[in-house]
Amino acid sequence: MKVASLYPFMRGKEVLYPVFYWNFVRALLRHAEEITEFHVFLPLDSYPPLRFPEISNVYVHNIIKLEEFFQEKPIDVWHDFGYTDVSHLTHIRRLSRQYFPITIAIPPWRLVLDPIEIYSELADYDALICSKSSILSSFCIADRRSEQDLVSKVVTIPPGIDITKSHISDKSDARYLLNLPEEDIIILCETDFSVYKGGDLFPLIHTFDTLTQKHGNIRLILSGPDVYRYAEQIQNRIYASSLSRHILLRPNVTESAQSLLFSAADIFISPSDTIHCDNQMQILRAMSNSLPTIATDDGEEGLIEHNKNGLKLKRICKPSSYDSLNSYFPLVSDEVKPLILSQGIVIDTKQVIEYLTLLIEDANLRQTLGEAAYHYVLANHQWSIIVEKYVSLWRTLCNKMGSAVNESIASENRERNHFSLLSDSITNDNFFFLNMSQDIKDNTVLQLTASGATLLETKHIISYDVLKDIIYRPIVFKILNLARSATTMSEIVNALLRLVDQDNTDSLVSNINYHIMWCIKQGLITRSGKE
Amino acid sequence: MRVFGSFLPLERNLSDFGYRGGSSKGIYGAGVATTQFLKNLLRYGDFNEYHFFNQGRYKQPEEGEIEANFDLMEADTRIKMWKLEDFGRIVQETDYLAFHRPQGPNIAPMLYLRNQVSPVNIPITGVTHTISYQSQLASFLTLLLIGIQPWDSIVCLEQPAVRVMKNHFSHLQNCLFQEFGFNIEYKGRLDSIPLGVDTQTYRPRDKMALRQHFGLPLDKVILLWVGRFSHYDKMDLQPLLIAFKKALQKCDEDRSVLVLAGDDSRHNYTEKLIAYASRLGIQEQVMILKNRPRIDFPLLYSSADVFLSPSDNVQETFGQTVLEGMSSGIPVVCSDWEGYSISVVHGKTGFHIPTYWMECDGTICDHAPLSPFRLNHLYLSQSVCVDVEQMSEALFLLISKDDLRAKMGHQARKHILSTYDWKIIIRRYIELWEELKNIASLHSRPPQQFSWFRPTYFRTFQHYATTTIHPTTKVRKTNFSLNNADSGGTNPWYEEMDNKLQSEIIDAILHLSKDWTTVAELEAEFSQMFQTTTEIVRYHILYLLKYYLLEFDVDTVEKVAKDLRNLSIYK
Repeated sequence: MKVASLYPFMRGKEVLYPVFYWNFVRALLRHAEEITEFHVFLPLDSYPPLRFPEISNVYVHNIIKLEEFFQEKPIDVWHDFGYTDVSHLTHIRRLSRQYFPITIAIPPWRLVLDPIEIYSELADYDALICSKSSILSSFCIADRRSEQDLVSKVVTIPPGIDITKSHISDKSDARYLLNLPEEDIIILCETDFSVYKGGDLFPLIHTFDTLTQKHGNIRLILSGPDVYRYAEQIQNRIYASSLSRHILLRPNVTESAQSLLFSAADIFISPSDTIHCDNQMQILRAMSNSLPTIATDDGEEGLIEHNKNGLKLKRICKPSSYDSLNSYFPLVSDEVKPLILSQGIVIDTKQVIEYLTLLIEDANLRQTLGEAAYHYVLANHQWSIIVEKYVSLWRTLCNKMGSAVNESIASENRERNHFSLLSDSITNDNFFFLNMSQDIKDNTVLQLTASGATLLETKHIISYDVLKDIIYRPIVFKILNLARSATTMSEIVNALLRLVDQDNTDSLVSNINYHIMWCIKQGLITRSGKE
Repeated sequence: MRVFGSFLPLERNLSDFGYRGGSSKGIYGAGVATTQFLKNLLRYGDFNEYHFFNQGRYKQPEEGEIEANFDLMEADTRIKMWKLEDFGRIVQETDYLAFHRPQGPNIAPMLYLRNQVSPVNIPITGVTHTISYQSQLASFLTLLLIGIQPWDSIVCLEQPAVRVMKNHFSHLQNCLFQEFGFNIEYKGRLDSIPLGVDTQTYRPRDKMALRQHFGLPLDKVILLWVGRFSHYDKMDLQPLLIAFKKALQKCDEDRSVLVLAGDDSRHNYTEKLIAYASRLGIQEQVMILKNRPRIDFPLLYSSADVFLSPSDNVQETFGQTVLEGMSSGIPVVCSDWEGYSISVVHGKTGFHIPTYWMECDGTICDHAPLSPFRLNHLYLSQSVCVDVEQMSEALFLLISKDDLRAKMGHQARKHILSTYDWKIIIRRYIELWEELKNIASLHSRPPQQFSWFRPTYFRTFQHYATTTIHPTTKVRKTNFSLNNADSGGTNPWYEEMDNKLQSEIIDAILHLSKDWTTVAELEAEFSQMFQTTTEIVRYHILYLLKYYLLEFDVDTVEKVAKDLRNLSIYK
């Protein structure tokens, strides 16, 4: 079986960077005898100059040679890692004058950005591959709303990992090499340094104000790519909280240093508030390193089984708080959409503190959860298991294609339904809210926290630059003032409404709710528990 | 109280492996050695305090800056950072065991400063790294003339380097005597202490896991070379490729790979090596890992079976990588060249490959002062032969004999732990400083001299100025000064001037010079009031004149300043 793929680039803040999963290709060729060749096509504007790993039976070509290539060599499957327009992929197939299935791995962020009609171009023998079943659920919702049959094309194949590659040193060695203290409990959070992609790290930093009061021997290491250059803003936040002894920032670490960080850690945490990036691979890597993991993961589904192989964090939202954003949401750039969504989502910081305290204080629990995590990965995510799933899918699709080759590609004549998964509005039944708790209600009692009180004194909001047009400072200060004494959410909203002379207040209510959610998220106010 | 002292520019040059950037680009042996020496001195030294006088600094370090620069996880209260200007004061109050310059052998400026201001004899030591630059002859000449004492020392990394330094001084002494009739001897000491190696960073690890991590073959004997790719000043690797090919011909070709890893950001040397390997037909057996992050190196050593270092260059003084290889538990095949021949025990921890040379450097020496040092080093190294036949034999032995590799690797690690661990090296330094301190205490302090090394700026350049202000010159506060005070107090000065100006003295001078007062009167008044020197008060008066906060009475200077108002254009 011959497989081909494109080698695409993503745009970071100032640079283009390639997105390609060489590990997948390596695993494919190692574990599937059926796969005899893997062809990689470079885009015309390949930049920067590329260096490729040397893997037998992998052949690299320029896309300009595509037609020539197809004249000489038929391929069996075209697989895409989710960074290419669907129309480009079907165009390649037309160009080839051949029939072959196209499979596309769908990263979660595509659900935010892609209009659904783009998938209508796919043939019946093509497939969309999701790494978890929650993505499948979102397609179910989309199908109900758009009357398309996408679900039949969706297949769930979980991500794979090379377990042997994860362990290059023991804990003590890794800590020595990285100059980390031998005795302390090290909590690792490996994620993109980006409020667009990796999630907002400020609430996690905030929990360390509390945690370090009781536990002087803990260190949080924030590590990951800093393509958007947010590390400096995060560092300023750490300095401002006088937490620099306890929180270490390690942006853009090398591959070896990253492996060593996983070896050096005692606990892994991933409190992601964005669907753009769910940190699935990082969680898997932590689990394969036998690390007890605390993560938002993916609601009821996902990698973590609560209390068995990790601890699952709750994400809380209030769908109506997005109503005011609906009118301009389609006009917002693709980059900012996930950010707007994430800023209204609260990671339950009380729960973060509770779970971290549990694991910090209980070495046995750390060991039990870590071992269970390792065995879970061993049983479900080794490349040999995952590769078999891919090959089996491709085999099925090739057979399916055999019976369809005489038909024209059905989707080409299909009426296009201009309906997107998410980008036109954020409604209550949106898939986005599927896995979230909605237990912040109008009668939820809210109260100012110590951090909120400090902020009222200093008037100095430390936030990401990009949020200054989304979060309006005077509203934040009003909310905090009102929450000085315990008060319900609706009382805050009503008090603020009395300040404005406006007939239609629906949009305003939603906007105030959004700001309240942001204040809770940043630990400025908290739910007092009385309702 | 035991106190160590050093002079060190406070830069972010002390942080070690890994996170920040992590590139191996621009990594030089001397920089790594300095970093490692200081880190291990802090780890194993028994000093109560470590004083670092910052050259070129005018501000005290900010909070966290020291920890960041020394890559410390916790604040280390033993570390004190001082401005260079503090040296005169601190040295009066502190009983230093010694001052050491880990960056290199040029300790002349420190000797000069000590000779000027220290009330007691303090030993000063430096250390040799590269000692083959032509330009270093001038600084070695300075060492002869600056007042180096029997309690000062240049620490050489091994005995061959001691011999080089003796040769340098002997050459300079002969020239001075023959050309000028001066008979000047080097009065300091030349001691020998090698560099250490961090035996925890460089140690045996799980080879197979690391090979998988780096994508290296699991079933082959990996010969590793690590360093800066430079045929100019490190080593010529092409003869190594010939020896490797010959070794492969003696055994199964698939039995081994040669991995060359290091920084190639300057010379693009790896392209030449790839071409040469192709020419020899061994391109499949040669893997090049260029510009790898620094954190990879200890892991790469641990993944390998044999370390190679066929140095042929006078620039190479010691061979830190050879120690790193042995510390990682692998045998070393190295050229019998300078320090290598001492650190590697032939037949026990590895093999020495003979090197051959003869005198043919006449034109190279003639052109050396004008020729770039890299070119000089290349020209010299191309006349140094590392025996290819014997190198291939050593490689063949180690590729084909698993037991021999294991035995030599084990002995190499043992040898390093007993001789080159930083703990041992730091102890040797402390013993040396104690010995030097004893010698110093037996001598009375040499008379203070205004050395030729000291510039005399004012006396040399005073004729540049129109006139000279005298102690009898009268000065007073200007009207501008009154307005200036209204608009915000003391005149804002450049931040570098924090070292030189004190707002209290400025305020006091302005306060007391409402009427004409002579410079001498102000000097006397304020030097007493502020317990300072008249020179410092004078410096403040001149600063105030510069900014028109004071003015002087033109009748009290020797020569009337050029006054535009006297020109005919005004009449």
